[in-house]
Amino acid sequence: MKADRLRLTRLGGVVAAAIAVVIGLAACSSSGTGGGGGGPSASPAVIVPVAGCGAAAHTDPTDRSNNRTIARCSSGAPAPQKLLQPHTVVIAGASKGEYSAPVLLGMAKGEFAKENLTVKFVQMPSSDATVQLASGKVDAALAAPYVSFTNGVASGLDLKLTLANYSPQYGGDATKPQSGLWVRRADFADPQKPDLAQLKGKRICNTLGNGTVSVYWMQKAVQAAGISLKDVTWSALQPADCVTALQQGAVSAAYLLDPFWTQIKNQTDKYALAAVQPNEPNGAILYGPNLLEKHRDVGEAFARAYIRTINTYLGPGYHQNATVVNDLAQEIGVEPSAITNGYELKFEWEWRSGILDDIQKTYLELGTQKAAVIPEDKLVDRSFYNQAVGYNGK
Amino acid sequence: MTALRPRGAALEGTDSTVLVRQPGPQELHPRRTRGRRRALELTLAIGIPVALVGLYQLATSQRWIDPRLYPTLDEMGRNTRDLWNSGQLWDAIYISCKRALIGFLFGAGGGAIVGYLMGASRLLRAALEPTLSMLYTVPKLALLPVFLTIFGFGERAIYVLIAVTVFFFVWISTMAAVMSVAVGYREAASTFGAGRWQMFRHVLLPGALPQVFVGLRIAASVSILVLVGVEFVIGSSGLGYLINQGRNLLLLGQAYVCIVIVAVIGYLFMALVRLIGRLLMPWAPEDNAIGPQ
Repeated sequence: MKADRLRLTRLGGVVAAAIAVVIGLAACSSSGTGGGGGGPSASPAVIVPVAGCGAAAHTDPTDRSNNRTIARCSSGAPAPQKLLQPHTVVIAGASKGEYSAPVLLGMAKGEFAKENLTVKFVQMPSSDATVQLASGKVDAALAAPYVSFTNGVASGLDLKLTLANYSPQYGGDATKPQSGLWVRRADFADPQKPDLAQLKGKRICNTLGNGTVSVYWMQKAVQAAGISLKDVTWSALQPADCVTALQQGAVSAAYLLDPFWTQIKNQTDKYALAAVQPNEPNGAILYGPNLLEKHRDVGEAFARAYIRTINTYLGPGYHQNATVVNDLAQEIGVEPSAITNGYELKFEWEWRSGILDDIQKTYLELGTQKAAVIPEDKLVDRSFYNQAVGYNGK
Repeated sequence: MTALRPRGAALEGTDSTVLVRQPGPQELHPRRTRGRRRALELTLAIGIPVALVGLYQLATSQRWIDPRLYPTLDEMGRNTRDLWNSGQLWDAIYISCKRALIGFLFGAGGGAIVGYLMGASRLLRAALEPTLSMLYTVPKLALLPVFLTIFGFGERAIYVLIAVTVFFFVWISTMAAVMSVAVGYREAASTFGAGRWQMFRHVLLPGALPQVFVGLRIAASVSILVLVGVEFVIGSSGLGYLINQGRNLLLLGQAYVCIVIVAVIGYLFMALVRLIGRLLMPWAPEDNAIGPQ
C-alpha cells in the first residue's frame, strides 16, 4: 500500500539522518587528550613535632641496605586528632591477609574510630582498584605500585603512593624458606644447583604475569644468571593454581605468595627457592583524589591511625602477642596458627627511594609500561606520613 | 481474490465479510519493493552499530565520560595497530578461534548424537535426562579447577571445558527438536514401511534440523563466551588473555579493542552456522525476523 511505502521511506530517512548527525558530530569533535589529573596536592599544614615520635620516626629514604633501621614511634603514637565530622574511608584490597594487618587490626582496635573515621575494606583485584580509586569510588587501595598504577599516572590519573606496607622478615635471603620465586628442580640440568639461565624459554607462574612489582627483583636474579625475564613465558594464575601448576610441571617456576609456599616448603628435594624480595617494602597504600585533595584532612587522619596501629600492635615480636594474633586471625578469617606458622612481617610506613625507578625500568624492559620512567615525586607523596610523625625535613 | 474498485465504494450485493484489497507496490513492483526493504534492513543493520560507535566517540571527545578510563577511538586504533604490528593480535585471534572451533565441534557433535538418541528413545530419555539436567546447571567455569587437575594446564582442558558447555545447549535443542517432529509424520512413514534409517533420514532429520540449528547458533556464541572466561583464568594466550592483561596493566585501549574483536568473531561464527544451516535446509523458512515470510 502507498501508506506503507511512505512510512518505510520516512523511517529509513529518519534513521539515516540520525546516523549521519551522530557520525558528523563525532567526526567534527576533537579527541580529548588524556588531560592531566587534578592539580598539585594542597600544601600540607605546618608540620609540628609529635609526641612519641622523635628522631627514630624518620630514616633516610635512600637507605635500602639489608640491615637498615625501620622508623618507629612509641606505642600509641602519633596521638589521634579527631576529625570534626565523621567520615567513611573505603579502602580496596585484593584479599585479606597478614599483610593487611595495619588496616584490619586498626579497624578492630578502634584506631581509625579515634580519628572519627569509619573504614570499609572491600575486596577487588588490584587493577580494578586502580580504576575505582581514580574515579573516586574508593578512597584508598592496599596494593602495590603495579604497572597499572604507573600506566594510570602516566595517563593522567590522580594517584599517589602515600604509605608503605611491610618488608619480609628475611628479605634478600633465599636460604630461608619464604614467599618468593620457587623452581622445579627436575626442570634443570643439575637439580641440586638449579641454574636460572635454564629458565630461558620456560614458563613462570604468578598472579598478574609480568605487570607485578616482583618482576624487578626477579629480573635482577635472572640477569645475574645471564638471561632476562623477556626470555620466559608468563602464566597468570591464581596463587593456589600456581602451586598446582608447579607440582604438575606445567610451569618450571612460580612466584608463590604467603601462605601458598608453605605447601611445598618441606619438599626441598623437588623444589628450591631461587629468589626473594629484598629487605624493602613492595606493597603500599595508594591514595586517590578523594584523600589527596578533596579531603586531605581525612587522608592525614587515615595515615595517623595506620602508623599508630603499626607502632602499637605490630612491632617486632607481635607473633608472641596472643591478643594481636587472635584479633588479626579473626579479621582475616583464619586460625591463629596460620599466622604464627609463618615469619613475622616487618611493618613500616616509609617508602624507600629508588625502588620505583627500578620497578619502572623493568616494566619498560618487559614492555608493560608505555610511558618513560616517571619521576618519583609524581608517584610518591611522603607528606602524609611526615606530617603524621612530625618530620619537617630537618 | 482482489477486485479493482474505487476506495470507499461498496460492492453491491457482496457479503460484508469479504475483504477486498487493491494491489499494492508489493504486487505491482515486487522487485523494487524487495530492493527497498533490503536496503532499509541493511541500513539499520549497519547503521545502528555505527551510530553506537559514533555516540561513544562523541561521549569521549566531549568528556561526557572520562577519556582516561574510556579510551577514545583514536587510541583504540593506535592500540590495534601496535598489537597487530607486534604479532600479538593475530596470534591471539588464531589461538582463540582454534580453541572455540575445536571445542564447539566436539561439544556439538556429542550433543547432537546424545540429543537425537534421547529424543528418539523414551527409555533413554528417562534414564539420562535427570542426571544431565543436574549437570547442566553447574557453572562450567566452576569446573575449571577440576578439569585442570584431570587434563593439566595445556590446551586439552580448554577444549574440554568449551565442549562440555556447548554439549548441553546442543543436547537440549536436539532432543526437543526430535521430540517435536509430528507423530503423524512418523505414523505415515511407518505406514509406508519406512525402516529405522529411512525414518531418520527422511522424517526425523529434516523435521528436527531447523531447531537443531537454532541450538547450534546459540552454542556458537556460548563457546566464545566460555572461551574468553577460560582465557581470563588460565591466561597465557588468546583474546581473553589480552583483555585481562589490558585490564591488569591498565592498558584499557587494548582491552576494549579485544572486546570488540571478540564480539565480531562471535557474530561471524553465528553467521557461519546460520549459513551452513541455510545450505543444508533449503526447505526451511528464512528465520530472519525482519524479512518477509
